[in-house]
Amino acid sequence: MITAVLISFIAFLVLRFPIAFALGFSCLLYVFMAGLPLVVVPLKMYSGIDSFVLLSIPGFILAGNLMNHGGLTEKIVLFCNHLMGHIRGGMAMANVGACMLFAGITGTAVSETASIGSVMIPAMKKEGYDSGFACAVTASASTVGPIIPPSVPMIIAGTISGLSVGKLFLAGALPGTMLGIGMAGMAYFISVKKKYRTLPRSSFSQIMHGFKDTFCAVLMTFIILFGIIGGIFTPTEASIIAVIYALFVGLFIYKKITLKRLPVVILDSMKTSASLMLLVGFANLFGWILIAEQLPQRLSMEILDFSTNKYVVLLIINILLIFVGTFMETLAALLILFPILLKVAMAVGVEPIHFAIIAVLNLVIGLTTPPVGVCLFVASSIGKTSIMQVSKSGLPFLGVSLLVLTLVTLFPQISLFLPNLFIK
Amino acid sequence: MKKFDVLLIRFLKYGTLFSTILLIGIVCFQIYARFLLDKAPSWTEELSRMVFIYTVSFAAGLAFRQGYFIQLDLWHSHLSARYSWVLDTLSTLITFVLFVLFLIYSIRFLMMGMAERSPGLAIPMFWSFGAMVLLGFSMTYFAFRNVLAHLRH
Repeated sequence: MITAVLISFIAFLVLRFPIAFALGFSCLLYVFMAGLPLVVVPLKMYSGIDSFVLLSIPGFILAGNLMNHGGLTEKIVLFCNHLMGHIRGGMAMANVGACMLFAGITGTAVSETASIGSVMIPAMKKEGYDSGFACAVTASASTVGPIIPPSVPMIIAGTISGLSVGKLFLAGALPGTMLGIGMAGMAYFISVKKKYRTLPRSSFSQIMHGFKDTFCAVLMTFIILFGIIGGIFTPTEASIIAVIYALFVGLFIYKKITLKRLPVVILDSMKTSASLMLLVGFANLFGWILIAEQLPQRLSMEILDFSTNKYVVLLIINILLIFVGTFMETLAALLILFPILLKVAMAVGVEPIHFAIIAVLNLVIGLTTPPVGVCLFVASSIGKTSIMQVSKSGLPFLGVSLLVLTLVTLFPQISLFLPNLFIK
Repeated sequence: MKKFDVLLIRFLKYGTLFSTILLIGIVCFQIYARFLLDKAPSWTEELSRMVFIYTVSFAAGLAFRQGYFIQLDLWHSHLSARYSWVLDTLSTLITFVLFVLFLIYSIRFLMMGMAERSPGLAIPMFWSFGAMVLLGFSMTYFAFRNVLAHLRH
């Protein structure tokens, strides 16, 4: 019966059903076939979203949107250009830097591609960069977003596994920074090779002015992170503090948000959150079915029968997650696979926090893996460039991501150093 | 029907805005109470979860109407307009069936809540489970509108 559910789920996805509904309908088929009461569908949907930690997701999304509507994207891009524009490939590196800074505001890669890309891709094209390269840098650098805190996938991973969201946020900081530095290095290397133009060097006062403008964004990341680490706030409370802070900055410092515009920003954020929460709700039902069918145990036994070597198991999981991440949305894949694979990883002695970082990293790499990486599509539509061209230009960046993934997989300390240092 | 559309959309929009503001207020009160009152009330977390579920239920219909739900677009763009229409109609019809069933059983779920009380606030869970009926209704209605629009197209 579980085979029928999985096949119907894949069929609905291919037929272009929204992922949440594809999950919902395949679960409905299972409930019918198993002769279970249909009331289990709303019941599991309700229990799936009835979580205090999940409440932080609309909070972080709203805070990010408020900052963005407050004109922060342009300010971040301008500051990064002041800082790095004079170096060869400076705009490409500024793009990566902007994505890293923006990662502290938004927690999703796709929104980062859209926000930074809409400013950076046309500007890079204007300065003579290849359109494919400009799109590829933006799409690849945005994958830093869900790794650097705050991160929506980390909140989901924490919610479904009971891991500390604060620890997960901290664990993502170093791998995210490594990923960003790697991307910037690759952008520099390609720019030197292609002899891209440089911008005139900015004055010290311009840099300081830019820093002053973006300081509010950096401060928000620190408030969130240290508020959680210091035990001052729970992740949910931190997200609401971030909303109030972003509102204050947008209304009184950047002065770009008006009270008239505020309902539009709130509605947009809540619609995005609701679409994610329906996914969470149906995935809860799907997960319940998988457990009822003992699929996690079966999969775990299959993998452990093949090998009990930690690194072989992690290699198999990495390949599986990159493959799934290429075709499926990050959160949906995480909701379905993370609890199952976590058990397998723990059985071979992998730290749960370390594994969560590996899983999220794998899935976000899938966002830029051709042919269906979502970020590639978003960037190519902004840059009005073919997906093939963007995919081709993105291959060196994909190589960087895979290198960072390998390092994070092989050396748990990269993920565990900060959580062990700050949270006992 | 258009008049009802306008009314429903307005209701969902105001519901989303009101519940979001309420949610922010409750969490702020929780923070305030923990730091500045002798004892933080135990009901804030429970109430915020309830309001959150209502926020999701109010906003879900609006999100569905405006295409916020992510879908996979593997080969759809290569199809002819006719096949594309057939697939889209099939998808909207199945979505409609899914949410009709969801709505029917969310009413049963609501009835189950008559006998239960929430642990902190001690209010009947009927009020909280009502969010699922709201969700089911708005999704069913907009799925129905989608089916009509596709068939007219």
